[in-house]
Amino acid sequence: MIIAINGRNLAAHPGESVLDVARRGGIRIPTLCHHEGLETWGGCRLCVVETRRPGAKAARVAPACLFPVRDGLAVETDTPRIHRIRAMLLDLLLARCPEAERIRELAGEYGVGRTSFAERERPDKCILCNICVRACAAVGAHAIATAGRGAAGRVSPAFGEDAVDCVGCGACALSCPTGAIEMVDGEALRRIWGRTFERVRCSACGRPALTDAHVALLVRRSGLPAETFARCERCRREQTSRRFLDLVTAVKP
Amino acid sequence: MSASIGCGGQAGTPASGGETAVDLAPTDAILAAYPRERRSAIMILQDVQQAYRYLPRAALERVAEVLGVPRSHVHSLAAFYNAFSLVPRGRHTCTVCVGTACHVRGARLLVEHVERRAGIKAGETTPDRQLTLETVNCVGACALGPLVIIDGEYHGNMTSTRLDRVLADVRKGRGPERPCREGPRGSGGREAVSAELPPGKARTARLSSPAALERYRAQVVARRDPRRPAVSVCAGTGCVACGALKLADAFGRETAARGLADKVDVRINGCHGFCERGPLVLVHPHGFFYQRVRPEDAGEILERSVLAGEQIERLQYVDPVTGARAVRQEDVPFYKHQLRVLLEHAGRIDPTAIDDYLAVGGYRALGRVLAEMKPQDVVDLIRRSGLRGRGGGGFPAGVKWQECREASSPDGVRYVIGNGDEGDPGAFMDRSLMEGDPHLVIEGMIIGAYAIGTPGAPVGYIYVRHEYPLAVERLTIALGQARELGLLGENILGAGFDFDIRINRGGGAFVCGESTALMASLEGFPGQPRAKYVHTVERGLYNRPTNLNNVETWANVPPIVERGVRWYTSIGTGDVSTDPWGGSKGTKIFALVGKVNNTGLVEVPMGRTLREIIFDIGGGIRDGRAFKAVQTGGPSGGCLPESLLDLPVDFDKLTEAGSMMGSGGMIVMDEDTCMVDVARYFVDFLVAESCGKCVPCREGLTQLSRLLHSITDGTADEATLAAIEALSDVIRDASLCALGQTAPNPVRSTLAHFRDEYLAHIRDRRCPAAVCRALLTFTINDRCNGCAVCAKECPAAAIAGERKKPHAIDPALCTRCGVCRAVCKFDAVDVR
Repeated sequence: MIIAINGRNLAAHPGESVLDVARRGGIRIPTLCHHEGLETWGGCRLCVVETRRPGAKAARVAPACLFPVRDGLAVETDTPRIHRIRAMLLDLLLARCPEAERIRELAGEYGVGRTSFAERERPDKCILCNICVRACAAVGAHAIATAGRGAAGRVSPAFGEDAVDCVGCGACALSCPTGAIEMVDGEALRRIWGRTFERVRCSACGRPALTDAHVALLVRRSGLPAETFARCERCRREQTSRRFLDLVTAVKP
Repeated sequence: MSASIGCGGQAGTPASGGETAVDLAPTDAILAAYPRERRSAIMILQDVQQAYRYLPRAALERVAEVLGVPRSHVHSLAAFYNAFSLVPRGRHTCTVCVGTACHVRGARLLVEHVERRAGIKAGETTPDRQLTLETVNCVGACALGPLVIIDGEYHGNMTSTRLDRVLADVRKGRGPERPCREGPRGSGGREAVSAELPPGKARTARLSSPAALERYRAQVVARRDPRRPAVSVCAGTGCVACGALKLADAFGRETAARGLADKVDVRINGCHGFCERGPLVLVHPHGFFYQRVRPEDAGEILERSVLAGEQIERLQYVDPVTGARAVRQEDVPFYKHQLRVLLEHAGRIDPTAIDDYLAVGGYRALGRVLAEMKPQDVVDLIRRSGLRGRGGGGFPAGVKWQECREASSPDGVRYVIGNGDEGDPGAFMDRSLMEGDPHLVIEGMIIGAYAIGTPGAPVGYIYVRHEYPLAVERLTIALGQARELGLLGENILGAGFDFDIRINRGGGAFVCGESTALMASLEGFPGQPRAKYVHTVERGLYNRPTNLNNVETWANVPPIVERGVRWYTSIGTGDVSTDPWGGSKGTKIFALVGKVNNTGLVEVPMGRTLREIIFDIGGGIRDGRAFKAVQTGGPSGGCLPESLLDLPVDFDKLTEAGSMMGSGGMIVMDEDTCMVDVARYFVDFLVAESCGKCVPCREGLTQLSRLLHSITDGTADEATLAAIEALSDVIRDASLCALGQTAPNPVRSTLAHFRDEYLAHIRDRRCPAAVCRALLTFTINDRCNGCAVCAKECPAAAIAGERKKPHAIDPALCTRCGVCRAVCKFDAVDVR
């Protein structure tokens, strides 16, 4: 099927979202809570666009990340109305997290230098985008979740105390768009969520790799031996590409 | 305010002190009573909360372990729902209802009064762990506002002086003790056992066909003598709060004492709707209607009315305008102008006796459907009837049923759900239906399940607010009775159709009335909605096609089947013969509350005007004050001014006027209601109830609330109104679910119709209704006789004067709390 984004016709497939098609076509739509490896959340609303189905009287405002494509759909990603909405959303987020660089950057793009609203008392950098919680669930640890509701909610380990189920994989901190989660990596140790984890050394190069708790979780979930997870990311990639190469050369006539 | 019934504020900090010695035996007993599914989590936590008065960490860990749910998720549930507290609560609990009807009648003053007296904030517990103060967003006893619940007992029309007395009694141990049971609470446990496990009773009485049902019905009717003397006591929540159960006990004692136990029935019925005048009693067979009956009247009613057929004038309703005495219920103007279809039986049958429901024709529609109709015929019937969803949106039910019926399901599983999470503050029609005529809702759902087709999942759910324990109890009893007769379960009426219903209790979250949030909650997750670009009829509960209707919508189904489309479409507005959106058909129940003379439940045909409802049925405004506005649709709705009083009330007309039907709350406001304060009230309500998923609702409403507070505090300028309007637009356009999208309605509608009041606050620093405290001046007039009560009660020591001489208020010290005005017996405190 074909959809039109900003007047450009683009091929789309059933089940895709407007955001999927836009990104493939190189059309930029800002997002904060979207992460390609995780389930769509639809909370930040920054990706709102105007959509018009064939035959529809008026355009509607919808988030590109959730809005399913259909043949003949017309999308506008940067109308004055959309600009106004995004600017207001960023103004609100800036009041929540005045220190978050990513928010300040984006707000600047939309002409918001300082928030017009009252800043939060004791602000942190968390915009409650839920990426960390979804990442933690994807890892299989389920160590953190949002506790409390509305503006009073905050991402927290179980019971708000020591992160009992955390394996120190760092997925939360690495995926956080605003750098709100503190993670300190040392040669042998990693500190996160108030806990310290031992890091296993890469069996190939000797550099620090996964934490031992993370390896234990992977072993438990996959049933594979611990050696499988003993390499650092770089060495694992090297190993994989070598295997690929071997395969390709093997089938060469 | 805030989500103070629960733990909102202390989400991340469970009590650490004294946790070492938690006895987990009660937790294990609770866990054993429920199926080990995530779905049970919220109900289990409710029972744990009941048993320990909070959720101890050790108990949460045990629940997580047994259910196989991550600990962080169990903690997240405990911190999301209002019903839960992570810190120990006091021995006694004082819960002040801050629903809209209670708010406009001064509930906030009561909260502040207790806060001052006990030295704690709402949501906190006194250091001696004796008293916890909570607020709750509407318990559906709006006619009795302001309402306070102390240790589970309802106290209506509360004043600060009476509250002091009741609290003192409770603290001294004279009042009702808070039960601290070891196991799950009665209704919860019963639901778990009867709904999940095979009933223990032999199913000898199961009816094997629609014809057998009719034979059984004939037997029930034959056993009944319509001339048999009886007294019916209304046991709706309103009347119970006024002592209806004590009255029923008194009738029981008096009949026994007179040796009449075999000759006179004492019946306990569902809500009669006229909550203002409770407790209400009907005397059969004469049909006498008595109001405000006290236990000491029981003997006289038996002697004079039941036996001798005399009327007791003292207990009759007198029309305040005409002075006419009403002998029977239908003589009362409140009832005379109504058309009661759904509420027809609620006040006349015993909701705990299925035979009562059968005697008035109950389950006949189900019998007819199973005997004569194909599922598609039933869907067509509902579509042609024009029935639209009573939960607020007004989506045509037949269209939804058809879509769900046609939606493909990977394993054939389809669900039907009854939404009984009536969260709109000021609305209690669903409560009344579930409490007063539970089988009507159940029958509607069974018919719906047959029509939609649920072969892969012969079970549906009714999701009921936890604030409605009586509704849960009555539904549980009704489901058990329907199962015993073969009206639920396998092979219903021998028609080869299987279906059962389970009850899920909510955890106290307004947003769970939204269908996708409700389904998340049913699955055992925090109630966060998802976008509905894929409709729930295609992918709903557990990603299967799901048909969710409000319980009032389900209650419409049996009458439509029984009396037909022609009858149903003759009631209401518009034409639905070609377009299901073309009108609003049938009747609608409204909860008429606030500053109106006759508060209670009102059922009228769609299309009646606001004026007819408020003035003909409601008897006009209290205390001879002037009408200012009526708020419909709860936090999603708007305030309509006097110029719109002749608006016919239906789905589309209300939406056009900038309000909405919502679930049917109608809160009447008079000249003493400040419209800015009302807007602020609803926005604050939604700030506390926003699930927090999307930015415009979570952050936008927080800022909107600040802007409105700046107006009521007198610190705003005219640019504030423009900022409010711009922010409202974004909240409406960009929010994820209907809660956020409609949240600005109370602000927009009051700005549209009462802009002058906003401007008076901003330009003149004046609140015309004398509600917004920061803008008020308290003075003492010459009626003051120097009794010095106000000086004694003033928390800021701002009142001085010689005894027996007029006192004066120091405006510099005055915090404008209004205590002086509330305690003055001589009306000597003026406020401007």
